Amino acid sequence: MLARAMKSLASWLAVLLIAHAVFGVLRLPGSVVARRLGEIAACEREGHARYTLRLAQQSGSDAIVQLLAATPPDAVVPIRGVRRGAIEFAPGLLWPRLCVDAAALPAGARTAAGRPIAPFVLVGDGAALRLEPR
Amino acid sequence: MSSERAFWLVRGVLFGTALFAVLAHALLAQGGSVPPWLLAICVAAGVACGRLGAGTAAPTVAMARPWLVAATLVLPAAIALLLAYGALATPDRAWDGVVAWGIKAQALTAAPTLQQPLFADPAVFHHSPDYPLMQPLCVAALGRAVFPLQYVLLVALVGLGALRRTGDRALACWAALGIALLPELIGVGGGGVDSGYAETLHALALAAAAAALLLGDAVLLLAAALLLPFVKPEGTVHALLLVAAVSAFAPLRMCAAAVAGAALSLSIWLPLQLQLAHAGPPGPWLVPGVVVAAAVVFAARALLRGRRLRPGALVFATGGAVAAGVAVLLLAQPLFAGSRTVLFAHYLGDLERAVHKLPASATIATHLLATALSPRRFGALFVLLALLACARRPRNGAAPAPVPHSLAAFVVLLLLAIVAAFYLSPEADVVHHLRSSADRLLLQTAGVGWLVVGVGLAPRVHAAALPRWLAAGLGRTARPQA
Repeated sequence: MLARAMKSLASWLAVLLIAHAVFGVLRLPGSVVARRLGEIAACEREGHARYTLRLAQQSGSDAIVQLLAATPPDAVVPIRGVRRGAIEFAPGLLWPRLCVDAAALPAGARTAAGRPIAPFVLVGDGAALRLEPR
Repeated sequence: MSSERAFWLVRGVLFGTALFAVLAHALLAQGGSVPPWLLAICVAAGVACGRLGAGTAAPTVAMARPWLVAATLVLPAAIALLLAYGALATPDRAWDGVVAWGIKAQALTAAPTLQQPLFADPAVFHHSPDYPLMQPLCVAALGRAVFPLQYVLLVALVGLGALRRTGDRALACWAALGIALLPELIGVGGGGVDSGYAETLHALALAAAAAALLLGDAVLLLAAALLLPFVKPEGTVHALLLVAAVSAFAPLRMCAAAVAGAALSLSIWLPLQLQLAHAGPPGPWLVPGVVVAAAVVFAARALLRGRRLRPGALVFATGGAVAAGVAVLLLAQPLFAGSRTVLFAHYLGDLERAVHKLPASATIATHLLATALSPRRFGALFVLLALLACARRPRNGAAPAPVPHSLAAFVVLLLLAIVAAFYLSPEADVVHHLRSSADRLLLQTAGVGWLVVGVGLAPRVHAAALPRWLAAGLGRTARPQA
C-alpha cells in the first residue's frame, strides 16, 4: 500500500512539475511579453515621471515635469512635508538635481554649494506632490 | 560547452562578483572610488579560478530527451532577451526600482564614490540611504544589462547545481525550466528581473548558498556568505542564518567558509551602513566584536567536531543558542535604535512591536500561504516543496538524504525570517505590508526552492515506475550503457 502511495506521490510530483512549466509557457505571450511591451510603450508615451507615478497610484507628476523643465540639471530642489508616498519618487525622477530639506538651505540664498536653488519648494503630502513658491 | 565547464564558469562568475562586492565596498568605506574596470577584473579572476575546489559531479544516472534539452536552452534564452529589452528600453518603472535602487545606481554611474552630496550630505533626501550598494555598483559598471545577466546566472546555477548533485539530466532541465518560467520572476511587477529591484540578485546569492550546501562546495559557500550582506538589508540576517545552519549541520570546512565569509563582509558592511545612514562613527568595538563572535562560533564548532551529542544535550545546546540570540537582541536594543538603519533601527530596534502584532498572526499566515500557493505568482513551486517536505523518504539503501540537513535547516530559517519580518516591520498596517512585500520576500527563496525540488524529486522518480505517458512527458531516458 505504501509502495502504491509512493508511486502515486511520484506521479503527482511529476505532473505538478510539468504543469508548472506548461503554465509558465502559456503565460508567456500575454502576461510576460504583451504586458511588458505595453508598459514600455506607455512609459515612452506618457513620459517617465507621469508613467511611474501613475503606476504607483501617486499624483503630482505635473510638479515633477514643471521642475524638470524649469531648473538646470545641477539644481537643488528644496523639499518639505511628509517623507513618505509620492515624495519618495522625487529624487529618482529629478536626478541629477538634488532634493534637499528646505530648512537646511539658507533663507533667501540663490545657490547652495555652487548649485542653483530652484525657485519652488516641492511639498510632499502623502500620495500627492505640489509646488509652492520659495 | 560541457556541463562541467558551464558550472565552473557560473561558479567563477559568482566568486568574482563576491570579490567585487568586498573590494568595492571596502574602497567606498575608505573614501575612494570604484574603478570602472574592477568588476571585469574580479569576474575574470573568479572565472580563472572557477575550477578550484569544485569537487566532482555525481555520475550521470539519466539523460534528457533532445526536445527537453532544446527547451531548456531556448526558452530561458528567449526570456533573457525579452528581459534585456525590458531593462534597457526605459529607466526603472516600479516603486523601489525608482526610489531605492535606481537613484543610487545613477549617482554611482556619474561618480563611483560616496564623496558626493547624495551620500555624504544628510540634508539631501533619498529613500533608504543605508541600503547596500552591490546592485547599484553593478549597474554603474555594466549598465542595466546586469538584470538579464542575473537571470541567466540564476537559471544556470539552479540547473547545473541540480545536475551535479543528482546526475539526472532531465530533472536538472526541469529545475532550470522551473525557475526560468517562474511567473513572479519574469512578470512585470516589482521584484521581477527588469523591475530594478534587487530581488533577483538576492535570490542568486541565496541559491549560491543552497548549491554550495548541496555540493559540499566551500568556495561557493564562501562566495555566497561574502555576497549576501552587500545585496539587500535582510542579507545580513540571511548570512547569519546561513552561519547558524552550517555550524549546526555541515562539516567543519563548510562552517569555516560560511563564518569567514560572513565575518569579512559584515566587518566591512556594518560600519559602512552606519556611515550611509549618517548615524555617526561606529563604536570601536563593532569590527572586533564581529571577529570575536566569528571566532567563538568557529571554535565551538571545532570543539564539537566528531562528537556525538545525546538528544538531551542537543536540545539544551539549541535552547542555549536561541536564548543567547534573544539576550543579544534585547541587550542591543539601544544600539539598534540609535543606528538609524532600516534593518537594525526600524526592524530590530523595537521588539515590542512584534508583541502588538501577535493578534494579526492569522492574517499573516493566511496571506503568506495564499501568496506562496498562488499559481499566478509562484506556479507549483511551494506546492512541490510542501509535498516533498511532508512525503516519506523513499528507501534507497544507504543513500544519503537528497537534501542535506544544513540546507533543510537553512530553508526553514529563511521561511521563519520571512514570517518574522511581518511582526517586526515598522509598518503598522499589516495587510498593506503583506500586499507590498510578501511576494518579493518569497521570491528571494525561489532559486533555493527549485534546487531543493530538483534534488528532492530525483530519488522519487528513480524509485517510482511512472506511467508510461508521464515518463515520456518528463523526457527522461536511461543512461546509455558504455
